[in-house]
Amino acid sequence: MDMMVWIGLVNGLLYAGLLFMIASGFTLVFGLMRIVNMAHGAMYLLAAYIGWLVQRNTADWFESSAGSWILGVVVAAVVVAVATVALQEGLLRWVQGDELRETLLTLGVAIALGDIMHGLWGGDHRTIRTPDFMRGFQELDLGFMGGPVLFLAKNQLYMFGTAVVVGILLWLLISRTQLGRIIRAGVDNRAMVSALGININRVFLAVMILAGVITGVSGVLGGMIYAFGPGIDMNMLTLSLIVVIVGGMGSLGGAALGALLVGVVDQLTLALYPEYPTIALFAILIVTLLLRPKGLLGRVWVNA
Amino acid sequence: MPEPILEVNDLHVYYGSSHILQGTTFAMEDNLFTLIGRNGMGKTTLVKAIMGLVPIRSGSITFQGKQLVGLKPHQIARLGIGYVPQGRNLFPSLTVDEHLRMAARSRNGVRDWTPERVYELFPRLAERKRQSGTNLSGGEQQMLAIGRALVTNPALLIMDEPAEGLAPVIVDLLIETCKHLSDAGMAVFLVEQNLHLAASVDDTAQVMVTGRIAYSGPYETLLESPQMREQYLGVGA
Ligand SMILES: Nc1ncnc2c1ncn2[C@@H]1O[C@H](COP(=O)(O)OP(=O)(O)O)[C@@H](O)[C@H]1O
Ligand SMILES: [Mg+2]
Repeated sequence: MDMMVWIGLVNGLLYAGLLFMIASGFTLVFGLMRIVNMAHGAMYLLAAYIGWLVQRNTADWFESSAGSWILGVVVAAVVVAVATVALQEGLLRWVQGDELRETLLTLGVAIALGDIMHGLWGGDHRTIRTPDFMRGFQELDLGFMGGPVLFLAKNQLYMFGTAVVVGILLWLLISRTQLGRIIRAGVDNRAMVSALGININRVFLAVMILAGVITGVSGVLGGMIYAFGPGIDMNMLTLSLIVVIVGGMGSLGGAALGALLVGVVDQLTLALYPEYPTIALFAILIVTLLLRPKGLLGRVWVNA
Repeated sequence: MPEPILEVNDLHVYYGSSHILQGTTFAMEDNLFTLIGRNGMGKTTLVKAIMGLVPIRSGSITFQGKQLVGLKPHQIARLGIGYVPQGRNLFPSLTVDEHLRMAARSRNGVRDWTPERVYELFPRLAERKRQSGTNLSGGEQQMLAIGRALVTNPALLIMDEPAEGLAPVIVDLLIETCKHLSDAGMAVFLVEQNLHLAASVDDTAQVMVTGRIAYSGPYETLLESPQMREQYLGVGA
């Protein structure tokens, strides 16, 4: 196989890690609350800016370059979780049940947030500095599959590792805990969950916090590898939408599968046909919608 | 006279502009209450109104003296009402065991009903613990829906047409279960379409016709009078 194909495949796999993290929060919120959170990409961008600001302003508080970076992750996770909760409690709760209004409201928030960030931090594209422990390259010998030797940026490997850990933790949470059982039941039928004595609003809040934390962490990890600035919010929203529509809205496994497909196809086209960056993505979207309108792992919703 | 377990007074519920419950009024005084009526008369709407699942235009619903109108479904359930909906509404993503575990809760420190006790009551569920709730036979699904309500340790169990679509043997088991639960002190509110089935459970009938209780009296009277059956339940009921 061509070297470029290998590079596209491996980069795509790594990129899929980030896409999965971003899409997981998006799909959880959709599955449970039926809200297509159009502000999700703006939250990613906000997290990236916060990680960047914290890193710039606290670098001399710490001996190691890791300190300000980790602080950035923590602050971004907290701020985005708080912002997500504020969106839920301050706005969405008042139009609960009216899905079109909920979605339009999040779109309004997305546009406003995008403009505010543009006003505050300008039009330049930026990246978060990679702390020393993640600098450098890791050799990857694909000879056992008949492939070449590749050198992978360590920070990308860390990002991928984080995505795997997040995926495993989410899977444990959803499949093994009481909160997870309630979330799954709520995705199936919210009204029935309430009628069993469970306060569904608290469950919504828990999921919003969870989605906010994951998005906060992804924003700082992603912002370290892929440049961010105005427009990235809508880019990330589009990618999340494609990932979850292809994978099946509301399904975590679907988000993983969708991320893999979108990541690999995106990076393969980038490596092989850099002049057609997004056509392939929309082609996957259209083919999926034609063949499996509910997505690869999508399911039938019980409406209530 | 003791306070009724459940009292509904002049209840009005609309779906859009259609007036479904048109001043429903009744009191549940005994441990067992059976509501019958033809399809589309508003029985399910009444049950949903009690559970807080449909908006109420006017009227009152009191349970053990507490006003339910205005409360959220989870608050109503927590006061001690267990709900077995028509069509069962199991969760396709959950196994049998997960259904029982997600719903299990003590109420006022009482934990008479645990998943284990539900498995004793319905041994067939115990054999299918790890299966998805929706992979069960109709009868097993109904047992699971009842078990899921029981583990919330309700004082009142509302069942909306639990016998619908089930084989006669299973229906007999359900009737036994109803009687057994109400004898053991749990209040049971049973909605049923079939007159003969309801009559085998209870002595006193409540018949709903277009959103009102049109007849409240002995099942015997209904069984003996074709005119009354015709009037309240339509032909052949
Ligand atoms: N979600 C709904 N929207 C509009 N009309 C409804 C809805 N649910 C039930 N209805 C109507 O309300 C009436 C009463 O229905 P229901 O309470 O289900 O009756 P029953 O349980 O006695 O068969 C019927 O005419 C039905 O068509
Ligand atoms: Mg009904």
